[in-house]
This record gives sequence, structure tokens and C-alpha cells, in this order.
Amino acid sequence: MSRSAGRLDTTDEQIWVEPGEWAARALGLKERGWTLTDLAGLDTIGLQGRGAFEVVAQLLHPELKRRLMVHVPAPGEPPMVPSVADVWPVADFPEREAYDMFGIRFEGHPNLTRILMPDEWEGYPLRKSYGVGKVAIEFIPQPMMQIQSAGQSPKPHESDTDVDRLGQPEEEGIGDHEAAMRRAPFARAAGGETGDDAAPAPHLTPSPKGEARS
Amino acid sequence: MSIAESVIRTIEDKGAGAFVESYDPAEQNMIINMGPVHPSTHGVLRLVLELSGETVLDCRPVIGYLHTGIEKECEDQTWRGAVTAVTRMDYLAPFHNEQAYSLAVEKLLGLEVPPRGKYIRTLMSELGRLSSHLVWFGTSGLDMGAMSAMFYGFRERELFLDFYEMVTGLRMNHGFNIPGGVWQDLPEGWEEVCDSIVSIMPGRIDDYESLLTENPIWLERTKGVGIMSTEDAVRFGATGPIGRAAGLDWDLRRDMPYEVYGELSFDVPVASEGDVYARYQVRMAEMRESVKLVRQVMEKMPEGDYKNMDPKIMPPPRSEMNRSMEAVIHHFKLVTQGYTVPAGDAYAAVESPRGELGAYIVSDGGTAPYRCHVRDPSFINLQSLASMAKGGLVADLIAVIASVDPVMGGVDR
Repeated sequence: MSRSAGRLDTTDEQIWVEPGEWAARALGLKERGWTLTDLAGLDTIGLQGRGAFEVVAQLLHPELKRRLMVHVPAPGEPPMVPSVADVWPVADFPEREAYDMFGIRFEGHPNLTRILMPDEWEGYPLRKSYGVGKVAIEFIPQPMMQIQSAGQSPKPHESDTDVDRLGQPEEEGIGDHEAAMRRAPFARAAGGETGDDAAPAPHLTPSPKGEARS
Repeated sequence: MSIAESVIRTIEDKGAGAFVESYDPAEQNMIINMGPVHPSTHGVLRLVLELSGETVLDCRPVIGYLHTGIEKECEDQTWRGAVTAVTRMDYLAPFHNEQAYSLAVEKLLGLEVPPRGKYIRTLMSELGRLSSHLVWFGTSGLDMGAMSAMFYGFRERELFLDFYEMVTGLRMNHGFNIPGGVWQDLPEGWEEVCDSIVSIMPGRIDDYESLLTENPIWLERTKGVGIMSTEDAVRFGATGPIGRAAGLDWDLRRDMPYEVYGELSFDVPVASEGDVYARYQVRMAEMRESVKLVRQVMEKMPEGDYKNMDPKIMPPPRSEMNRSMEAVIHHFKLVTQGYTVPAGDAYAAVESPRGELGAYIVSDGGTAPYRCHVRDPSFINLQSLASMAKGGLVADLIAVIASVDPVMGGVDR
């Protein structure tokens, strides 16, 4: 069992196994007393000199008191590797988790379904291409709320113009400048109040009151 | 159709039997749903049961109701910051989560922890085992009708939580074990508080035993119930007390020592029956061993640094920053971007109250973990639930779940 030189430098004993040989190697390792303790998927897209996906298995030899880390590249899209759930039944849940999180298909797994995410979930959350915060959040259009004076509870904006899906008025020139400013904080930051040469945002047609303010 | 709508429609269509998923009158078997919101499933564990009358024919755990994406969250944190995320996985054993993660990162960094740091970690780890087993004792007693067990278990746990608050500032989710050592030194007067806890505990454990060990109702509910053979324990990868209760003589603290366990003497309780009662005995004996370990750690606690003072990894002490420009620069770099870890991957495991808790860490040489996978013992141990539940009664299943002691925060991560 040679440690692949020059690839990674850690104190753990590691071997690389081709996906085609993994099932047979697993059987051989089991016969020599190795047990599986853990199995995880890995998106290697950001690691140099590696494929796209890998399955990393942690083996333990209880008599020798040694650990062994096995890397199995998972080529293709969807990535495919043979399942070892029939060799080590403990691999059942971890393989399902790797499928759930990375979309790695384990050939021969008895019940390869999502385990942590809901069944109807789309995408594989732990892939590097599945960014944090990139899941679309539905924005439901709501009528504008406006506080008329201090101490008064908010009530819907009295206007016959429609609001778009972000709650912005679709028509220009409604309401006073103050309200328009309040509705468009980004436009204000971009140049509403910076100076004479700053072009006002197109939908901010300043009313006389607004000009007096600036 | 939303989930709520489909649930309402199901109830409208099927009436009171909505929770029965199928019923075959010829075979008298039914598939029934238990949980995820059920007082005896210890969180949000859902089980799909196949029953013949009261007998469990099959049992399939359905998990993921507490999935919060902590492994993904870690990839967005610095190496130091990810400790805050991993500690929330198995929330009854926060010190062990942090410890496994820190050991793996230290492996990649080649970072040595000073002896005092190791002893503090071991101290907190053993106290954590005691407080976790107290929750198991309380909840499993409650599940089987011994309500006073819960009162006693949670009463004593409060002592531990107060001590954690004194040492770490928090009662749970401490973020105390960090790569390179522990976050801060033990506070003044810790010996007295710790000593009072370990002086009380042996007597209290005797009380628990007098409450349950020979209690005929308890024996009736646990003896010969939920048996798992040694072969099944190996096949399904059961570790920790449930593996040791099935005759699997394996404890990482003794067999592959980490931190300072090699310098301490303790016994590993093992039973051979593999039933719920054996798990009860093993955990009770483990609590006594943990008390012994805490005593030894208190006696041997060395002086010195509690963390590795490498300025590239640890922010310098505040006193040094007042007179050293170098210290200010190091502090600024560590706060604004954190430290980098050499590219590579490492696996480190500790013996948590539920079994082998391992962390598989990959670094691409950057300031954040590239991948942080945690092998949670509850997640793996749940696979053996079916082998224990098959052939038993539904009421026994409650005892079996309690004896496996799954923590869903760790299962779903």
C-alpha cells in the first residue's frame, strides 16, 4: 500500500483507487480486516491536479489500530462510482448523503435517494457551483405602505398608479420627493444628494419641494 | 400544492386514519408513521414502521428535518470561525465536535498543543461526557415512565452547565476548543467548582442506580429488549456505548489515544448482552469512569501555556499589543483575513458520548476550510436501529430509541 507521493502532504495514510477497481479493492480490504468508518463526497474542482469529484472513504483496522484514507475519483456527469454498501453495510447512509449533497451516483446502492434534503429538492448543495445565497427567494409584490404623520399607523399608499414587483411606482412623478427618496435608497446613495453634477436617478423627477431641500 | 395543503387534503380524504400510510387487511400489516414530532423521538427523528399488530416488522429512519447546512457554512468561515459552526452539530457534546475539528486542522498545520491545553480539553471532554449521559439518563427514564429520572438528570446537568459558563462564557455551543489549544485559560477558582461536581457525582450516580438498576418495571422494559449482536454492531458501524454494550470492545480513548488519554488510567466498560439494559449499564459505568478521569486530570493539570502561542495562528495577548508593532500587525492580519492552512486533507476522530466523532477536513491552502465533513456517531448509529427494533413491540421501540441516544442536530448537521 503505497502512499501517493507529491499529491497531498498530511500525516494520514492515503491511497488512490480507480473507480472501476473500487468494489473489488473494497472486498479485498474487508477480507484483510479493514472496516469502513466514514465516507464523504468531495468536490475537487478547486483543488489542483484533481478531477471533478471524489469519494473519500475512511477505513479503520481495529486490530492493527491503523487508519487508511481511500480516495476514489468519480468521473463523468453525473459522477459515478460503484457502491460498497454490500461490502460494508455501514456505507448505506454515508453514500446516500454523498449523493444528496454532490449528486454522485453509487452504482449498485439498494436505495439511493435523498437523505437530508427534501425529495423534490433541485441541485446538490455541497457542490462548489451551488453558492451560498444563490437560491432565488420569491418576492411577493405588496402595496406601498406610507406613514402619514407621527403616531399614525401605516396604511396603504393612496395612489392610483401601480407598483412594480419591488414595490416601486411604475409612473414617474408621483408623491413628493421625500417619499420617492424613501422608496429608492439605492438611487439616493448613487447620486440623489451628492451635488449638482450628479445626475439624478431617472425616476426621481424632483418636485419643487425636493429642490428646495437640496 | 404546498405541503400544508396536501396534509389538509389527506386529513379531509382519510379522516382520523390519515397517519396510517397503508393498510392491508389480508396480511394485517400496516405501514405507520412515527414522528418527526413525537415526544419520544428525541428531536425530529421520523420513523416509518411496518407493523403486524403491535410487532415491528421493519423500521426505516427518515432524517433531515434539522438539516441546517453546517458543512456548507464552514466553507464560508475562517479556520478559526468554523469552530463556531461545528460546535452546533451535536449540541449535547459541543466540546467533542470542536475537538475533532481542531485535531484535524492541527494535523494539517503541524501545530502542537501545549500540555496544559491538552489537559483542559480532556477535562472539558470528560465533563461533557458526563453531562451528555445525564441527558440520556433523564430522557430515557422519562420515555419509560420513570419521570423522577428526568428531574435528577437535569438537576445535576445544571452543575455542569454552570461550570461551562464559568469556563467558556456559554452554557452550550461554546466554541472553546480552537485549533492550537483552547480559547482561554481556566478561570480562578475552577478547582473548587470542579471538585464539588466530582465529589457530588459518585453519590448521585449511586442514587440513580438505586432508582433504576433493580427496579422491576425498569428491568421489564429493558432486559432482553432491542438486542443487537456483535456482528450487527460491526456490520452497521455502531460505535460508542451501543457498540460496547453489544460486546464490541473498542474505545478510541484507549485504543487510539489522542490528547492525554495515554497518560491516564481508566477502564472501558463492556457488556455482552446487547440489549437496552446492557446499554444502560455501560453508560452508568462510563459515568463513573469519567468522574475518575476528571479527578486524574485535576491532579495532573500542568502549568504553562493553554494554547500554542505561534503569532501566525493565535492573536497576540492584549498586553503585548501595547508595546509591539509586530503584535499589532499579526493581530490585524488574523482578524481581517485569518491564517492559511497548507493544502491537504486530514481525518481526526475523538470518542464522543455517542461513539466515534470524526472530522474530515480539506484545505486548498486558503483561509477557509475547502471542505469540512463530520462523521457524526448518531448518524451512523441510526442505521442499526432497524436491526434492534425488528421483532419487538412498538412500546419497546421507544426504549430502543432512548438507548441509542441519537442527537438529531448531529444526525442532520
